[in-house]
Amino acid sequence: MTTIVSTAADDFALKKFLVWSLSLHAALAIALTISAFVHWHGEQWSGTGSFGDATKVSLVPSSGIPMPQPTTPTESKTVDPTMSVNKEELVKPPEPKTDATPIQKFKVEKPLPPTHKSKTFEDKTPTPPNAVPGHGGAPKLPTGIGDTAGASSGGVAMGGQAGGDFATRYGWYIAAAIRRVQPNWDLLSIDASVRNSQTLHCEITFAIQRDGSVKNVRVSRSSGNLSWDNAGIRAILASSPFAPLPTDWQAPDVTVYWDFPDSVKPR
Amino acid sequence: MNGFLDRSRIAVGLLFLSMLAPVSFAQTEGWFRAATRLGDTNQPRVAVADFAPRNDPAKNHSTLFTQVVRDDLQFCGILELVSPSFYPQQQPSAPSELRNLSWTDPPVNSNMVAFGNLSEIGAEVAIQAWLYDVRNPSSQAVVGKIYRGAPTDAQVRKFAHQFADEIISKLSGGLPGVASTQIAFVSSRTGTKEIWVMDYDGANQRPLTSLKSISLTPRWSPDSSRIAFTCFAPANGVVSPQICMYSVDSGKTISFPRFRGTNSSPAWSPDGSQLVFSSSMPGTPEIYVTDSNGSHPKRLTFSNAASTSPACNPNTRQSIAFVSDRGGVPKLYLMNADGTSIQELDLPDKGYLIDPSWSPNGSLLAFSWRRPTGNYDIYIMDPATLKIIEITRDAGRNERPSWAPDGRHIVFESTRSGTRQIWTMLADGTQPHQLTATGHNESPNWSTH
Repeated sequence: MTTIVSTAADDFALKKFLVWSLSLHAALAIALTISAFVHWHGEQWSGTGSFGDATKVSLVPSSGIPMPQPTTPTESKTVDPTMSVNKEELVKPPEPKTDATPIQKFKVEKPLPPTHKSKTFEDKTPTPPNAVPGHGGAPKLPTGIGDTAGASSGGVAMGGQAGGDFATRYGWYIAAAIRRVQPNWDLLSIDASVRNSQTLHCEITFAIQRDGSVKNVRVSRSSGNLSWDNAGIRAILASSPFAPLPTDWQAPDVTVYWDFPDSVKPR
Repeated sequence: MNGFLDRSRIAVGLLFLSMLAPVSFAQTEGWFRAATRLGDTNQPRVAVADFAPRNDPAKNHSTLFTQVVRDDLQFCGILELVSPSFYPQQQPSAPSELRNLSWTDPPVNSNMVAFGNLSEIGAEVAIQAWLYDVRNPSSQAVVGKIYRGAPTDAQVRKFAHQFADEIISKLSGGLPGVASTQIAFVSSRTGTKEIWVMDYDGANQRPLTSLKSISLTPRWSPDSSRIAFTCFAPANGVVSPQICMYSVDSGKTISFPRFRGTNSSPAWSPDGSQLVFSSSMPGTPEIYVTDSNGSHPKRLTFSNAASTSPACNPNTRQSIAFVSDRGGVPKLYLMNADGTSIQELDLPDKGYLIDPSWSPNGSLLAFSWRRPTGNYDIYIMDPATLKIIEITRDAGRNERPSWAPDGRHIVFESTRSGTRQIWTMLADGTQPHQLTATGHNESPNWSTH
């Protein structure tokens, strides 16, 4: 650590620095005041006139300001055939001949995998004689971490049935829900041009809560026709609330995949 | 050393996540797939086994209970009741006795079986009733109930109706059954037209009023606590049609203000807080609305023609259908609940039109129409598309339809049996049932509960 001791020679140099510093500081101060003045002058037109007033700005809706209409540019300023009374047809210039081959459009979209028939009622497989009593021969364990990971109890359909545990136990509930929705599928609300289609198919997914109310109604597979999809959504909404879920169903809700209509024949 | 700790932390994190994977798989168990068919749905086949009496005193009531449940299910229109002649010999009285195969095999072929037992001990009857899904190998109880009450016919009927409603609600996906509802109507069997009430199946017909004058057009309030009707009540020596109110809770008519002129055909607003009716206090019959106790009358139509028979849409709560001859002949009109936006419902023919009645979901209007070439018949119209269907034909005069709260049945008056009686039918015109036979009976109205 070295201490700075001022010597006489340093004194003189220090003074020089001091003078420069002070003068530059003063110049800066003057420059600032001048700039403040200049700004203030510039704002005066919008202020109320008295010095230091804040300017009030209020939002004016654009509809209140008369704006000129946006001009649509026309191709030719002299004669615009679309503006004439006779409305001549625009003659398209002939397409330049090229030897480039056009890009091939995809002919047919990859067909969707055929939806398997929904079997909600029948399960004719006899329970094996040594089966532990419970549902379908599997031991009745509570759903949760205890189940083996990734087993058939996952989102994979069991043995051809159209559903998981719920469909095995409550086939009657599903059948009743189908009967409930049936009259609410209003074909008349579908575009007349596709109303009688035998090939259009959409799938609506939603969740039924414990009290029967529905949540998250959405089109999970579109038919390609908006009115067909909307008729499906309206059918579900018009049938809600469904009956409350069976009291011995543990989960707070059940997810439903609904086809409108049922299995379209695969081509 | 730091690096090893970091890596081990990552490893623990991944392990934790992998443990969650089976949980998420297990949660996706809660799903099912269903579909709507282009054709008709299959109706489930339901069998109702003979309910077993556990002791001798219960024998009669067991038979009664079984019969009422069978009749209610036969009536409801959403299922097919398997004929008892196909039932197996051994019938269960408790779940342990149920043998699925004997009920799913031909000739029974049923999807569901209702069964149970009755015991009468002392001053109490106890009924155990179940509905089982016999197609499900893990034998599912869909309904399981115990009913206890006084051992009278009326009480056993009530329980049977409740059990049938439970079955209908489960099998229709939540829509109510009508087994516990009632029908109010006008009967002249005592000599004067009085307001009567009966169960939906015609049982328990009993009078409510005995005003010894003329009482017409009964209408249940939405909570079934009151019945508004038209009565010819004398006051100060003047007899004029007025709106009268009967209280079901207290069992007598309660006061309702008198208005000038003719006051008739009351209708309730869907929440029961207001009453709409036709009144000629301004000179010609116009539609008025008042509070349910008759205060604050407000005029809704201003046409100087006759407007009558209002009916409020129970779903949109905003529109009122009524009959008016402002166009020269009685026609159907729709207007908003405040009287604005009057719109004529175009029909493809002329004729007299009466008694509009909205379906419980508010999307269909039933009415009676006499076309110039024909007779009074009941039609159903979709006011949105103006499509109409005729549901009675060549069967006498059919008038004054009233919808059941399940939206599937209609009660009406018909002269097809020779005298004017009350009949019910499905809303497509099938399965007509005669409910009354004594005297002249007309103007029925179906309660909502």
